[in-house]
Amino acid sequence: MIDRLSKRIAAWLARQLSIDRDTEEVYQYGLNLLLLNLLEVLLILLISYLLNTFYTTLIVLLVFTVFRGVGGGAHMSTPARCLLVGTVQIVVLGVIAAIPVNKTILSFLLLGTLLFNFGVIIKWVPGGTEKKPLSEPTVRRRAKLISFIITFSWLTVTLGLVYTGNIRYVLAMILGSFSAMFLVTPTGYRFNAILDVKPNLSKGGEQNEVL
Amino acid sequence: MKFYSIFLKVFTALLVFVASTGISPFCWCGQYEPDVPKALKK
Repeated sequence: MIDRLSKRIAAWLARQLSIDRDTEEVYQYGLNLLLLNLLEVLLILLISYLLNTFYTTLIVLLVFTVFRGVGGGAHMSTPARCLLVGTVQIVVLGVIAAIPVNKTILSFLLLGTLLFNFGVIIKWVPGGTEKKPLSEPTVRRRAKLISFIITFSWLTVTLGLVYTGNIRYVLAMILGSFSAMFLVTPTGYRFNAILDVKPNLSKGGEQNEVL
Repeated sequence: MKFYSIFLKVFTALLVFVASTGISPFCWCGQYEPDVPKALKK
């Protein structure tokens, strides 16, 4: 649906501005990215508002996006699956993040996530895909460095929340970071591949080829 | 008419910007990457 809509809007822009086919394709690609992500963010915020978990979901979404932007990781094969899986994932994490957890458990979770992040950054960041392999050493080094900076900033903000008494948002910070880094690991790729199954009711389901 | 043409130019500039962020190694897109158009491939 989003692909078709992007194609139509790009074709309309091409008629209005008399541009060549290559530029039209660039517009279509930009529209595709913009519409899909806007729709996903709006859906996530709307559902979380209805579930009364708006702020925790917003924090999960922001933290996830920042880590994901640099760390990369597993992707879905179609926009519809991305929309469904991405929305459900962030909304569910936002709901979990709203559960009150005591300080001791949060401290263990924070320490565990910090160590997990370091391990993932050293070993796997950035997580490439078939369309974007991210294999050049300079790109990989830069991604690791930026991921370390983001992790330290994340830790500072999280500790800041603890010391200012905003403990109810700490779990959201932890879950947003953990879920983004998890998708960079081989287990994260396998987990996404399980969710990324082409429904074929007559044959009982067929799995897509994944990286 | 002038406003309309400015709007189109700003809108298309935004689309080109978004497309360029989409091909960068540090992409903000969620769980799906559309096919990169030939014009944006190296």
